[in-house]
This record gives sequence, structure tokens and C-alpha cells, in this order.
Amino acid sequence: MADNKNKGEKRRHRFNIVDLLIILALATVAISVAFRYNLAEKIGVTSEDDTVIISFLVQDIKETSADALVLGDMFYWELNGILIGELISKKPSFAEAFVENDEGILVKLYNENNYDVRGEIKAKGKIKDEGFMLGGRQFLAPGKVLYVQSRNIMVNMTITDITRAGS
Amino acid sequence: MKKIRLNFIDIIIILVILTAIALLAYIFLSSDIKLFEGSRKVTIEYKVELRRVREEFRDFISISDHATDTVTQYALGEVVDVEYAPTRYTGVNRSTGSLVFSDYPEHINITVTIRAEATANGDDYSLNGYKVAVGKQISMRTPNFINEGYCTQLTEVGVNG
Repeated sequence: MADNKNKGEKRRHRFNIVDLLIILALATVAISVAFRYNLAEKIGVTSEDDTVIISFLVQDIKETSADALVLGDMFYWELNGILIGELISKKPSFAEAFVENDEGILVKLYNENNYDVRGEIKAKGKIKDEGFMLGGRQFLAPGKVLYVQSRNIMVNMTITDITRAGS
Repeated sequence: MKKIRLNFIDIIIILVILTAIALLAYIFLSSDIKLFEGSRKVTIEYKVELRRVREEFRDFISISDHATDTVTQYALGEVVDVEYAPTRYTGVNRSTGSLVFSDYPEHINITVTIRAEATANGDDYSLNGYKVAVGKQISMRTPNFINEGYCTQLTEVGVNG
């Protein structure tokens, strides 16, 4: 009887390969779930170290659309839903138009019915050797055309510059 | 004489064997797959012309920048030269009907020369699987610029083995 009791105690403390496999399986599931639902990002464990100013150009839009670029609005990359940042400045001007004149030469004029808007968005990300990574994971650089949305507008914007905030 | 009876497993085995034979036949007989053709490691330089770029993007690409394909993420090589030229516009003089060539205001063409280690496979050059040739459309990015253009020139500048 005493022997059986000792055996029972010994069994309770034994850690075998099956236990290890179960623990590994559970750990794998937990890590997979974390990746699947971007839990690291949701609890704020991200690599957004740098604050940058993204300068942009929106071309040839109506006055009402220019008005819909509202300072303080948060802008998102429509393609993937990634937060870009907050609109902190905008400067509308009459839209550039390139028109061929009677001599066949292309000249630059301004269309007073439409507007080009230059502006700046304050964003967070990581400046790496290979360039700026929005949110630490999405590459952005001047020349990129983004379809963006805020609560007031959806529009194409061309990135014209990215500089570290305060520089 | 014993009657041969095929069960479900036998059919699957036969199908697998037939598939393997068909695959081998395709590999050995297809002109698309060159099994025995030698490949060479070479250094190439190729030019990518980015057309009608806004003037304000001048100087955003630098020598020694590493270029990457924006779609496939393949490494395209190292920038060794950047040239700028006015974007030309072809118009028509309405009174004479003749063609007129003028500069596109505030726009330039940027020609980027990229050097890369490539594998020459008889018909083409491959950058670790990314085929490059004159005429190919290339969406490229460097640390400070994204655009797309066409490969306009490709030369082999060295043999590496």
C-alpha cells in the first residue's frame, strides 16, 4: 500500500515527451493566434520609433474635395487599412494644367476651376537603411501614389517627401 | 489463370506513376526547360528609364542606393549612375501641320543605371530568379524614391565564373 502511494507520487512529478509536445503545441497555437490577429500591434508592442512628416500632393480636385481635407483628420491607406497619420497642414492652389498651344508647344497653365493641394501628414514608423517603413512594416517613399481615406474624403495622393519630424 | 482485381489504392499508385512519367517526359522533352544548358555568373549593368517624373523628384535617387522591385521584392542591384534629361513632348503646329518637339514643363526623365550580379542562361539574364531584359517594365524603389519605368539598355560588364 505504501509502495503504491510512493509510485503515485513519483508519477505526478514525471515530465515526459508527451507533456513537452502538448506544451509546444499550445505555444504554437498561442503564437499563431498572436500573429493572426496582430496582437502585438494591438497591445502597443510595435516598432514605431520615428515620427516623420510626409509631404504630399493631391492633384486636380474640386473645391469641395479640397475642403474635405480637414486638418486634424486621421488618414488611412485604403488598400490595407494601415493608419498613415494626422493631417497637419494643407495649401490649396489652382490646379496645374499642361496644354498644347497653337504652335504645338506644351505650356503650363492653371485651371481655376480645380485645385491642387499640397499638405503634410504627421506619421509614425521606422526609418531604416532601406527607407521609411510606415508603422514599422510598410515601405513608403516619395513618388508613391496612395489611395487614402479619412472620415471626410477618399483621394489619391502622391508622396513628395518624407522627413524626420523636427529635422 | 488468376484474375487481377484492382482496388482503390492500386488505382492511386498507378495514377501517381503515370503522373511522374508525364512530368519526367515534359522536363526532358520540353523546349521550355533547358536542363543541360550551362549558366554563367556575370555582372550586368542595365538602365531603367523613368519617364515624365516631376522635376521636384530630381536627386531623390543616389549613387550606391540599393534598388528593389516594388512588386516582387527582388533585389535589383546597386545604383551606379543617375542621369537626367528633359521630358520631350511631341505636338503639332496647327497652321503648318508639322510636328513640334518641346520640353514637358517641370518634368524630367530619369535614367538609372543599376549594376547587379546575374546568371546568364543562354536566352536571358536572371537576378536570383528575376528576369531582366531590354523592354521589361520595372517597378523599382530605392530608399527615397518609388517609380516605374522600362529597361532601355543592358550590357554584360564582367564574368564571375
